[in-house]
Amino acid sequence: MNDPRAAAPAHAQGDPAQEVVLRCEGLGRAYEDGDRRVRVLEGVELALAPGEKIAVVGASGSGKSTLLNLLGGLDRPSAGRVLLCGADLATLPERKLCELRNRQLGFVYQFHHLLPEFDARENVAMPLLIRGTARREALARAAQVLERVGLAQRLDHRPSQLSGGERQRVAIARALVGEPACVLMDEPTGNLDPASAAQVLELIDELGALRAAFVVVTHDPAIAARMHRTLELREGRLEPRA
Amino acid sequence: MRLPELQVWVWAWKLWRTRATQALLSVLGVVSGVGGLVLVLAVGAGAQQEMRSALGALGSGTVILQADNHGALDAARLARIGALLPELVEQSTGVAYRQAEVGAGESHPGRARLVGVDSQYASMFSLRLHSGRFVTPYDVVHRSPVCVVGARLGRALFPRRQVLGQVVQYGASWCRVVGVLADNRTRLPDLEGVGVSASDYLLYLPVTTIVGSGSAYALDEITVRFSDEAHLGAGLDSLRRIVERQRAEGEIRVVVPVEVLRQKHRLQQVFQYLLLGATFVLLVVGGTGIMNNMMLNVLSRRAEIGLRRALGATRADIIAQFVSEAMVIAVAGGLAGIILGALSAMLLGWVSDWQTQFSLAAGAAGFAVSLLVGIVFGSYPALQAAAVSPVRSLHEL
Repeated sequence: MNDPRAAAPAHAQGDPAQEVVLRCEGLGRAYEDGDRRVRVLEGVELALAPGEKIAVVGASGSGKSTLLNLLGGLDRPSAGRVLLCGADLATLPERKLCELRNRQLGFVYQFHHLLPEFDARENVAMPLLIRGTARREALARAAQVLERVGLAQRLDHRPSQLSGGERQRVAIARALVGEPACVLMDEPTGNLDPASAAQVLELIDELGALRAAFVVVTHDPAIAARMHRTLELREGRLEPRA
Repeated sequence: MRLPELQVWVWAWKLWRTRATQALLSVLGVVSGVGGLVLVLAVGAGAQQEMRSALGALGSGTVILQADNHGALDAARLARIGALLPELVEQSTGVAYRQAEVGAGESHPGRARLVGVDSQYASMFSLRLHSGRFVTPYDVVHRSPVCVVGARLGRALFPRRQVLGQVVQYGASWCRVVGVLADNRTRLPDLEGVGVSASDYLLYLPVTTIVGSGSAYALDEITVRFSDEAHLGAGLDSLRRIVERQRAEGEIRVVVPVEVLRQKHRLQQVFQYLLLGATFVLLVVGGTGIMNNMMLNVLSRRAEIGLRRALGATRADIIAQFVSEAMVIAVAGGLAGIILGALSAMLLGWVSDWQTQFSLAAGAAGFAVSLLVGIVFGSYPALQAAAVSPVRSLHEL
């Protein structure tokens, strides 16, 4: 297997002139627990270039999912800000935030969260349908992406008719169909058997050719090894892993 | 970002298609509620139609005097009423009833009602002729052996033959058919027992032919039409005085057909109000069933809601989605209820003497109410769905 770090985009190699897809500045998140204030994240700094793939690792409860929620605009930071394609997520009105999330972000979760009433193609087309794309066009584009992730023969299958690995590939196709600037993955192989996990990993490698940036939260060293950079969350701060 | 409207309905339809049993159970209340509403409207429309028919056929100023015993009314009295109240009475007619076995050749359909009439009768009750003519003054004066048959009796007597010109036997006598009535059942109110019959199983003869000649032959009924309803009060008073003076000759009942109809409709209105109340309760129960079901849906689909939010759906999109799901199920129940209500109205019309009339307006009202139930009872669960936190719901599994 080629070392993916060799193909790291210019920004990852330290070119400050390179455009940034996703940036965190002094990002912090704290929760009130009775009289106690629990700081989960503090002063997180991050800049992600187009096409860059990073892994975020850390112990359980270190705040990885919290970071992902903040990067996706699903949660509001207690301090600092997240800039997605130059827009500060915390200051956007709901409609604009939803539109930005729909157009510039893709999500892949540990549990695929596919809708059981719909077939693979309809599940993948969901972001486009929410965007307002005509149904016929949305389904056609969904079929193309499913073909790309190796599921051309599974277009009309419902989630219950797919294997675990296939479901996760459908979820990845759903994240990519809207051609987002950034894809956020939360333990994408965490719920898969080794064989299915390997398939998904190969797919993530193949997607390296895309211009989308990837943030992958994982416990799996195999996934981290395939990323351009690996960052570790420790005591609320995001630091490069040696 | 707005979801395309069609897409929302497609999603809603797909949801319920895969949860048919759940949908069926939650929609029963709406089915019965809308069915009840359609039935109420059909009864109301039928009652109005019946009243309009009655007023059209009888006029609002019609009064019927009925003799409780033979001899209380006769032709002489009929003449006197006309003479005493010339400025009030527009038209009057006397009727005598008999029952007899009727037959023609091989056909013996059984007993029929013979109605002895004068030439005024047809115009007073707005009877329509299918063919031929009605009883004339000449027939009454000369006791002509002629008759006019009601539409149904004509078909029973002569199933595959022309009725006009045939000879009909009634009891031991004979008459020649000079007229056939059109179907008058839908036009005349069914007031059996007060002198007006919607039945077409009747044989009309000159009154003198069945009760005998002379100037004072006995009558069973005298029908008086006052020139308009405004004269009805004064006319009724005068008639009652005349009847009172002649009480010694026998009891006479004074019947105002329109008033009888109004009483009947008041009874129907009570039924309508009761049914309307029950319908309201059923709709609330039905709506609550839908709301309960939708609340369960919100709980069981929290991850889906979170995912949709993550994919870019706004709170308004989530509300639109859940309200549309409630509307789809409520309207499906409403459509079933409209069919149920229409069938119930037909059944009620068959088993009772109530006229019912299903109309498109009743169907539209049923549809609108079911839509409203969907919106009203789907809104709260939809708001709950929109309030689901995507952060929490996506990590609940």
